[in-house]
Amino acid sequence: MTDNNINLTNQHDLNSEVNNKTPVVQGEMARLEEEELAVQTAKNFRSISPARMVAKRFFRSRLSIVGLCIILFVFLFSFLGPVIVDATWGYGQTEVFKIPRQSQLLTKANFEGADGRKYVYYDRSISTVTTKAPPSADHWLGTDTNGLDIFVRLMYGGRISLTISFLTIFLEMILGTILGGIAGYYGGWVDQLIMRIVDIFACLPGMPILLILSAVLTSIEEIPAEHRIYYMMGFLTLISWTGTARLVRGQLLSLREQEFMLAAETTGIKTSRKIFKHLIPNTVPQLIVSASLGLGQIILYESTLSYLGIGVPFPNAAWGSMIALADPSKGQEILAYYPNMWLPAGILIVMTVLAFSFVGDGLRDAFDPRQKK
Amino acid sequence: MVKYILKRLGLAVIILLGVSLLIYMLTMAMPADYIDNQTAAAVQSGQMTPEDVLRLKELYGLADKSLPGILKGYALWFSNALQGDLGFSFLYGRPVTQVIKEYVWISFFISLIAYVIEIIIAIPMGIRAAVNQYSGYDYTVSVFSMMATALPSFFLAALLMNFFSINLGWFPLQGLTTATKIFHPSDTWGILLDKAWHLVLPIVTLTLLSIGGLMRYTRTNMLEVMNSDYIRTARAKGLPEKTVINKHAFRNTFIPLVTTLSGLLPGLFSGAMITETVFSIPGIGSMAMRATQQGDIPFVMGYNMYLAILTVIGYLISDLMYAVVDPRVQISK
Amino acid sequence: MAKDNKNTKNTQYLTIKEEREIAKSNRKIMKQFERTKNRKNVDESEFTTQMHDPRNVIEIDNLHTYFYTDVGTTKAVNGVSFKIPEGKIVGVVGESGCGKSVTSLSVMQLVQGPVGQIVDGSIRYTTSEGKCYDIAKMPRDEMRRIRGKEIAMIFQEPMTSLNPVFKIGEQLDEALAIFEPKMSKEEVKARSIEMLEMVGIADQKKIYNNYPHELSGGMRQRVMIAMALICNPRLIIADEPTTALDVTIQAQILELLLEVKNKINGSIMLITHDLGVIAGMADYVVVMYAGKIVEAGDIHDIFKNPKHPYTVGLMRSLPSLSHVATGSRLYSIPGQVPSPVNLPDNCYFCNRCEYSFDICMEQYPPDYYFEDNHRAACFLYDEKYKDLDLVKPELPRNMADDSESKMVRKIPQGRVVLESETDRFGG
Repeated sequence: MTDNNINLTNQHDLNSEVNNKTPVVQGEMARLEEEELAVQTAKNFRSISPARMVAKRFFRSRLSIVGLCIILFVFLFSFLGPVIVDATWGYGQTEVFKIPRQSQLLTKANFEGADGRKYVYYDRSISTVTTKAPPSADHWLGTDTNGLDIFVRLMYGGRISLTISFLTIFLEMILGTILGGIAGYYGGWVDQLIMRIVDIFACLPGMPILLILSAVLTSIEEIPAEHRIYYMMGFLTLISWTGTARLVRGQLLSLREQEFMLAAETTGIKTSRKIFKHLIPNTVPQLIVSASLGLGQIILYESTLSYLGIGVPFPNAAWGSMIALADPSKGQEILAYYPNMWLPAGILIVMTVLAFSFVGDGLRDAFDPRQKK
Repeated sequence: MVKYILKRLGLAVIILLGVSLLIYMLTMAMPADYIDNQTAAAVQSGQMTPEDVLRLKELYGLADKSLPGILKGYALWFSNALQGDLGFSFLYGRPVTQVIKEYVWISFFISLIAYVIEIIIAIPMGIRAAVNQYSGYDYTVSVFSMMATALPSFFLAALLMNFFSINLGWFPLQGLTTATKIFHPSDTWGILLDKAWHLVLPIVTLTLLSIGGLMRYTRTNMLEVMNSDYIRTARAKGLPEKTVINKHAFRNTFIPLVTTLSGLLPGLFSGAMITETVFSIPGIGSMAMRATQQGDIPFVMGYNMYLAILTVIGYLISDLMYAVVDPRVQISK
Repeated sequence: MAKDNKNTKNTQYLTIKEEREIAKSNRKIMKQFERTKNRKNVDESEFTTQMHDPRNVIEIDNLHTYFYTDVGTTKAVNGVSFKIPEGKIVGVVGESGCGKSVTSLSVMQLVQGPVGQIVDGSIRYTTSEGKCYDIAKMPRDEMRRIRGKEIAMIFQEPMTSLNPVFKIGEQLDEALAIFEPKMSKEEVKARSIEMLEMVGIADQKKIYNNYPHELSGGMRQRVMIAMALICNPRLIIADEPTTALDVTIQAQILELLLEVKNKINGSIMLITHDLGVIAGMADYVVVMYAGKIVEAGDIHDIFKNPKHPYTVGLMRSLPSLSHVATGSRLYSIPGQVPSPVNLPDNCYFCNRCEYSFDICMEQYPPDYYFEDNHRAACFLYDEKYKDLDLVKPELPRNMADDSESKMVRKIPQGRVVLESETDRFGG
């Protein structure tokens, strides 16, 4: 800054002699003036770093802030929540509570007696049930069919959902970026080969294949039941990496055509440098956006698997399996009278997925303001 | 044009070969298959020897689980599949193709109606949202469409059932026919109406699940078009705003819409596994779910292959439609 | 009416809170403008006025067009006044981002809403029926009386300005069909083909059935011109009509513009950043800088005797043979156009100006008039500072001699139609 100031004063000295100028001095002067201007523009313009710009644009949108807050809440709820519960109430997701309460059942039946008269048959049975406790101060959302605390199970369910979705998306991004990067950079037969593999994987029907895989996994006795879900997510990665690969490849192909790549080429830099220094960083914004949108999709997948009973195994909690309690094929009772068992889990799923799409949308607009005029 | 189609078809065949091999290997890895399940009791009681079971398995090409054995089995399966024989379903006791043929229609019917409703609602709403960008309407549509895409199918189904079937009692909870009502066989209308009554909630579920995506897609494309130079030209010409939007802008938004939507058409035949299962609709989706859970290998194999074929056809249609609706695409490669 | 941006402090960043405030006030302002513009069945008297001089086709008076962006109010056009006499060509010059295009879009009411709004001023225009309207106050529905039929526009980007999914013929026909509902389809088609012929397209019947992507850039610009002229407008706005074209095609298009202008006896508002084009075409010149007119006048005055340092700078930055002869470096005006958000109160050009002195940093100069409506907004010409013995900008001697003729981009005489222009893409 001080250097520039000196320059500035020099410039003013020069200015006084400007008038009997020769063309050569003129050119020189223009250059000096440019420097001076750089200083002045720095003062006049609001300059801002690209990263800050993105952050600013991101936070400008109200929806992305809402999304971020929800994600933060769900994270705290599912990671900090169990710790607090463990410390204060002292139990986890598998403790069974037997809370006895009386359940009254009144059955009524009309029938015709042997004397031809009509009779009404009343049967009032009072039984003591220990599960399905209604919400109370001890168990905020009550207990489920097995006497497990629903509120606490929601926390553990969130923990598994979030862990799995981040893990899966991470693997998916790595696999997709590597293969898509290779295809897009080298082109030719390499590209052809990889893209055909992508085509084949993209044509695999996702859910049915996962169902088959879950059957395969169950049969392998060496894998403990709790770990099965992680294997499932590994397979999910294998099925869903194709989107990322296509995205990276497409990006690289279009970037390769651009001038700055030609400029890099003319400087004669190494291939690896070209890929990692110049090409991959340019695809990062797109990757971040697709990752944040993909997170929600994986949560949906995971909950569906758990709903079908092939995800997180009982007694461990999962949002999907909590909703499965309401499956009317097993009786309408829970669906009708115990919304406290399945509704909160569903709301949490919707909230989380929605939050990820808000954030993803906000990020996309922040990275590429042209998209949203 | 012919050359282009041939090229795409060739590519489709390659993809299908790869997909079928993958699916075959996966299904063969399924352990507790139907034969084991069914014969377990017989073996226990000594009615069958394990050798008998093996013989039975050999009969269906399921015995040899080594790689060459699987490949041999695949070759056999594939040559049969080429002749239209997808195998014999253990669970349903009929050829797989026959089961698919019988149960696909109800699935198709549900999906088709959901698809039509989805188009009718989503496209005009998406366009209106784009034209009135930043308005309250736009905001509502955007949030609603995101919410619709965030709903898990089974949760949405549970919500609808709880509200409309249990609380209001407007629609039946599950199944396709009312068990307590007995219709005279000649009462076709009564039977159809009863079925339609049962299908309302599944259709609503499917529609809501897919409507958000299409709405957003329409809006994004329309926004892009509305900001383009030729829309400004159309306005500069003095065209009324209605013509500008309904003719100039929509005709351009139409291109991506038609290609995507036509690509979805074959998918209407694939059945909705979760939704059909939750509502106990005897469609192809719920049949496949049962077969998978019970280890009916031929059916699982056949159904997955059927799905893959539908997907590939979808891609083909989508590519072709692109060439049809966009005058800029010239197929002369 | 125009709400000044609250944030005039020269802070480095806007805080989120400030941004919120801006966004909130923007929404309010935009909503109000949109509502006024979207009104239906507005009484005609509301936007009818009187021309100041009946010989003018259009009079732009103190026009302000602002963009309410998220970082503040961008004053893209900030008090622009000029007029276009009947049958004349007025050139509007300036660097990119100085508000030329926004001025022209304002005349057509095509500024991208709701962000962009005409905030103040008037655009008086007399229709062929003799009614005088103020375009700046016209509701959106009424604008259809003006667009296309009265004022037509040719855009900068012929590649993207034609709708890619409709045939050329259809796009030409529909413009005419709106204003001439009595014409039969065949008549409309005949007229369209006639127009294509007029703009020098050889194989009109084939082109009529082509899609835009099958034509080259020059051909598309010809089609654009044909489309603009089809309803016999009285004023043509050409917004950098040749910028996107090859140099050889540029001359043809300009010549074509001149020719058709004479045929329909219209006026042209020619927007360009190329002084060469202006020198060859215009009768009057308006030089814009950062949303304001810095100098305006007759073509000869401007080229022989430019007053504003910016105009002189523009001319000096034109390449010419004299640079080769003297071996001097090509001149460029240092720096760039200031950001139109939070413009200072001083002369916008002062920090790029070699001639600036104290007062330039303090306030914005008023217009100073010279002979024949030649005006410049520069304190150098204020009588008050006469005794300061200020150095006035001058063209280098070799340019001043006959700058105009030297800078004219020679337009070839006689129409040339390039058959090869009809080449198809990927055919």
